[in-house]
Amino acid sequence: MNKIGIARPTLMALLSISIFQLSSCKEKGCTNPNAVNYEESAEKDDGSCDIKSYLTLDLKMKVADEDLELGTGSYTNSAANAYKVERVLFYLSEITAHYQGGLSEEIAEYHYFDASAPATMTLTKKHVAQGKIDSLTFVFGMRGDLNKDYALPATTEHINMQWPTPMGGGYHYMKFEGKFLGLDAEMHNYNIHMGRLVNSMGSTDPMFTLTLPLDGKDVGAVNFHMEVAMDLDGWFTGEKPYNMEDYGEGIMMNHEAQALLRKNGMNDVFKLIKTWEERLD
Amino acid sequence: MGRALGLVAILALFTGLSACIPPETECETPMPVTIEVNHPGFPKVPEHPENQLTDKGIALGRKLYYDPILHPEGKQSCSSCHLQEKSFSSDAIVLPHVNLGFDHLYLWNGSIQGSIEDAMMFEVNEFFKTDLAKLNASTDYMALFKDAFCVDQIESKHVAYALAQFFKTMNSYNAKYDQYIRKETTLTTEERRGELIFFSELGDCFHCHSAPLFKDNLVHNTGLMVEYPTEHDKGYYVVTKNPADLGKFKTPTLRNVALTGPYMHDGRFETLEEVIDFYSYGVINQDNIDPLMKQAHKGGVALDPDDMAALVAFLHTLTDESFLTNPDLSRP
Repeated sequence: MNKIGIARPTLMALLSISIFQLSSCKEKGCTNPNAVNYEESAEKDDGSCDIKSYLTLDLKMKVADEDLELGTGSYTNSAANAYKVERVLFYLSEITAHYQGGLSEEIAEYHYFDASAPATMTLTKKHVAQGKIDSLTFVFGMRGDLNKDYALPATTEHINMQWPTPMGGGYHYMKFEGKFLGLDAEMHNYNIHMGRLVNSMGSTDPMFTLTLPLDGKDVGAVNFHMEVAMDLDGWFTGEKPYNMEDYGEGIMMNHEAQALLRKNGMNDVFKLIKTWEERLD
Repeated sequence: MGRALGLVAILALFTGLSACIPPETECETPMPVTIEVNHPGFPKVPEHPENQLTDKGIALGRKLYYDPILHPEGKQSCSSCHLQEKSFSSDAIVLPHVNLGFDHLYLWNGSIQGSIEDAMMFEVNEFFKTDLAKLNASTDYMALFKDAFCVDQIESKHVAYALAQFFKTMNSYNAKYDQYIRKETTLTTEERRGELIFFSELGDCFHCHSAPLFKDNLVHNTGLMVEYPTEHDKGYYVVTKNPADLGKFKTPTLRNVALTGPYMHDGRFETLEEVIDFYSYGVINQDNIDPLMKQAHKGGVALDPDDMAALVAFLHTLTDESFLTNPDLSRP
């Protein structure tokens, strides 16, 4: 018993309780945000982190293999149109990595890319299987239930990508816009807007599926990046070059232009640049 | 020493316990409500982490909207320039207050960016320069703010938040066109023709005036002028100081557009016919013009008189009488 009337063992117990109660608000758990079992509230790592693979698609905008200079770059396509690029917005869907042995991981059901917004140009699927990846596949545009009126969440981006109902409904697959120098020496606007066109003249769907081989890349507990280029020059290049003089300033109601762009797009637009690994631990 | 240690232990025990106990609130927070817009393709009414919608908050915002107390000298309220019968616009050159809660770009030059709460902060602090002392001296308002926000001191953000809550109820989605989309009515042949012109590259209105809000939350240069004599004419350039943004203005909504003239940032056009005539033959081609402006090198989309009339007829289908007369939005 001391002067304040508390026995030493009691005092020690009180101190222990108070320390316990102070420390009891600190949680233990996995503190690595890359882990499957990351606990945001955990303040002390307990060694339980379970790290699987991440798959990341990085889309790079190119023109004839050079980085796109949006708004400032001057380019000439295979049809000899001198042009500038001001806006590129597009959707890829069913973005999927295929592993040896038949397993596949869908990285995204669909994704909206805006060349002026870097945050939209990369997407990551977390906590996927480890293994050897043979290929990456995706759809340019959208099909089925995704490509119909109001199918996507009503965000500003998706609303602005709507393809009007009187022309078939759903969404623009791509808006690729800028200015070109016409044969009349005047600057003309161009709007390469692709989407499923349905009108009294028929139906044309410029959607296509692409496979990019990855040659069995072995993916461990890392963030595996796949850099893919959309080379805008490729839209103009093919057996028949796309000539802005021929197709004018808007092609949403032009079946022939939609079909030509599909054909060119399947061959020369999307290319795998490289793959690389980012540590997660 | 021993006494001091004992007191520290007891204090530590108390501190340890209280650290895990949430503080008590001083008053009851009103029940949150949600605003439902039941129309195809309409976005959800945005939520704000600090400003949950409540009946009391909305009612307070409505009262403030119509009260000149926001003005330091009590000379004008929001409703002085934003009349319900004109879709909350007026003959003054103002953007209508309709479906504004969905925006993230405000004012003609897009200089206010963020949520409607951010826009209202600008209105309270910069536009009106509201004298908060007057609100805090009002027993009526003190009670209403206490009920809505559980505060004893009214700050500018509380005023802005209440206004923002009311704005989130100012939604128009029951025009004839909306009823047509919901298959509740039909359009005339001329209106259907106008719809096709609007929603195709014939008129190419839809790329900027995207349905169902009939705006795109972006700024564009539509070839209205090549020289920008006033600061107001410079548009988005005022924000970025990038010459490429000269003459870019926020896309105004076309909901109730037949009632919201005069048109353009400077009110240069009195009628819809004048606006369509401009987009047909008056567009000025220039470096900054938006690529979406079809046939700018020829002055515009060259609609003939019949197509112009059809487009005007279609634009009239965007008039929402139920919004213009909605008693929940009127002066309380």
